[in-house]
Amino acid sequence: MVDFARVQKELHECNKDIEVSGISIKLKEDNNNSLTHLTGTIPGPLATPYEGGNFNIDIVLPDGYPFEPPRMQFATKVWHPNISSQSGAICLDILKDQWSPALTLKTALLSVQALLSAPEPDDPQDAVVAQQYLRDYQTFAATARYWTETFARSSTLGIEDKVKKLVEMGFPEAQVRSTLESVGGDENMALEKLCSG
Amino acid sequence: MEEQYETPATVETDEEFSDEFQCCVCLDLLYKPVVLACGHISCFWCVFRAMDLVVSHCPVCRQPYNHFPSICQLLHFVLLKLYPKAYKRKEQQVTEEEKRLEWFSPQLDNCLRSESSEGLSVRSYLPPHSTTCSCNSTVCLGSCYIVDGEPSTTNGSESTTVFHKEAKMSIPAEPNFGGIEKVASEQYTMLGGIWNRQKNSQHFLITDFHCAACEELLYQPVVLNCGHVFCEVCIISPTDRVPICQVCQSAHPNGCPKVCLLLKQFLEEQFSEQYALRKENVYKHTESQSGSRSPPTCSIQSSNHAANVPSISTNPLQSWLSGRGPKVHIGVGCDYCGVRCKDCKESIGFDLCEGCYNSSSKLPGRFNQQHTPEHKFENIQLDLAYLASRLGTDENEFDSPNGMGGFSLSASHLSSDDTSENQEDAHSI
Repeated sequence: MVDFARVQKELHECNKDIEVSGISIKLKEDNNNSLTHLTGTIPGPLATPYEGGNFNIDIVLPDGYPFEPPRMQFATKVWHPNISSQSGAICLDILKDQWSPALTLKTALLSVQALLSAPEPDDPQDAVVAQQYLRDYQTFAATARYWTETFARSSTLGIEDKVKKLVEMGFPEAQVRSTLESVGGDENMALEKLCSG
Repeated sequence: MEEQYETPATVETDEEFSDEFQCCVCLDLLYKPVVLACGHISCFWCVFRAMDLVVSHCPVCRQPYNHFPSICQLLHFVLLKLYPKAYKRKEQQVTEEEKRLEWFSPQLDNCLRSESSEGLSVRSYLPPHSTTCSCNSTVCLGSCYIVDGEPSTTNGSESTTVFHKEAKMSIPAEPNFGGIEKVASEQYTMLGGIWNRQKNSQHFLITDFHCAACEELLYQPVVLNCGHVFCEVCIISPTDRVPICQVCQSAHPNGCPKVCLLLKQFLEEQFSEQYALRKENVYKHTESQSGSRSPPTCSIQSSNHAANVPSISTNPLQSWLSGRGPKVHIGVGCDYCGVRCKDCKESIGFDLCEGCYNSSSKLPGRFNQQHTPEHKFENIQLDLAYLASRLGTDENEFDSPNGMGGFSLSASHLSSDDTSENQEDAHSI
């Protein structure tokens, strides 16, 4: 049995200082608002290839929570040696054998955020990324930045910001607005469409 | 925050409790607090559920320990007085949960001390049979007799209310109170048995916080495995001996205890002058004994002790084989076992040794088992294969415990509970 009283307290505490930490936890809507299935969001740490991105993390609370670690994986695609580029699985000790019931979802998300700034390529989850990290850091950083821009960026900007950004690139505002609307607000797809047509 | 106690605004809802009194596991007010050897505190059930089969770790600092400590009654008493509403609310929740699971925590007698107008010393709850039973830490809970098999909440709340009334009445009834208070600030040691009301002491009686060893205010309090509290200097011996509780004579098997900072902070706030005086006295005393030792270094020494003195049965297998010293009860995570009661009906099983069970007919077990001397025991056979599999391959999934020889009963009880299986997943050394 999950300790729901505790989970509720955790959500309340975490979402109270969202402005400070940037970390938020929400109920997953497509799951009858069950308290066992949540989505956490962490901002990419500054001065890393993940800066500017907002990463969603899928959280499933096992029955034994908090005596058993929460199951977390990235819902947003991310290029990182310790995170699977395919599945989003996270290789982090506190989510496995080093879990302690005194840790919370927020502290776990903070640790994941710290993992983004301090990759451990010697203990990889994604061997390809880890190889690249060790052999060709420049390419790794460029790829990670590109993935961040592509997959973790779109939700950070409001519609007006996206319009402004695309208008600054030299497209007419009316066309930008209609294109953005047609692709559902995704600035990258809009850019692609604007360039091609 | 403490001032909100009994103000009209908080009649309907719980008191706000300060963060220090929040359990790090359930994130609620501490209930039936258990103090680990590292000085960190959690609720009885939170500690129990967070324990691993062989070596457990403090949720906060990961210090390893083997033995499930008893509830610290002093802290229980403090919490009950500070936040009676929140504490009662938590008690109700826990009692419901206990009834559902049919696992019960020990019932604590609220009229433990200072309920009589005389102001009893900590020693007053020394169980009469403590000398006959030297091996069990739970014995000290024995003085809190059980009214009936079921935990009773009404009983507890009644006695607390009575207590508050008494406390309030006896303070003005005391003649020359102002004079006494003045004396108190000058020399608190003269105060034994007299209500000491400071501005912020909120009915707390200083004699309730006396060390059973030195009979003075607890200084740098440490909580032993049995839940009794002592000054650090009174319990830490310079040799590598295992600390022995001077109240219930039980050994403290979790390595040298560290100062319980929560309790220390509480004492400093409640009895600031007396605490400062104690500090001075201890400092003088240790200085006169040996010039180099002073209270600050004493603390460091004890933490070195804690690091150096291994907890008894760090190796449970060895403990089982040698048959010496307190044993870890694999499966229930507690101590001093080796026999199984065949007649105890409680689903959690047994947890005390035969000697302790025989010592008194009114002794509840550590999980409030209602054992009587008429019950029959059987020895638990050590299942080496099971132990080896447990000790050798900690990462492995916990297989079905059926057919595990002597362990099968207790292990299967536990495995029916999700949390204990889940502990397995998280378990690692």
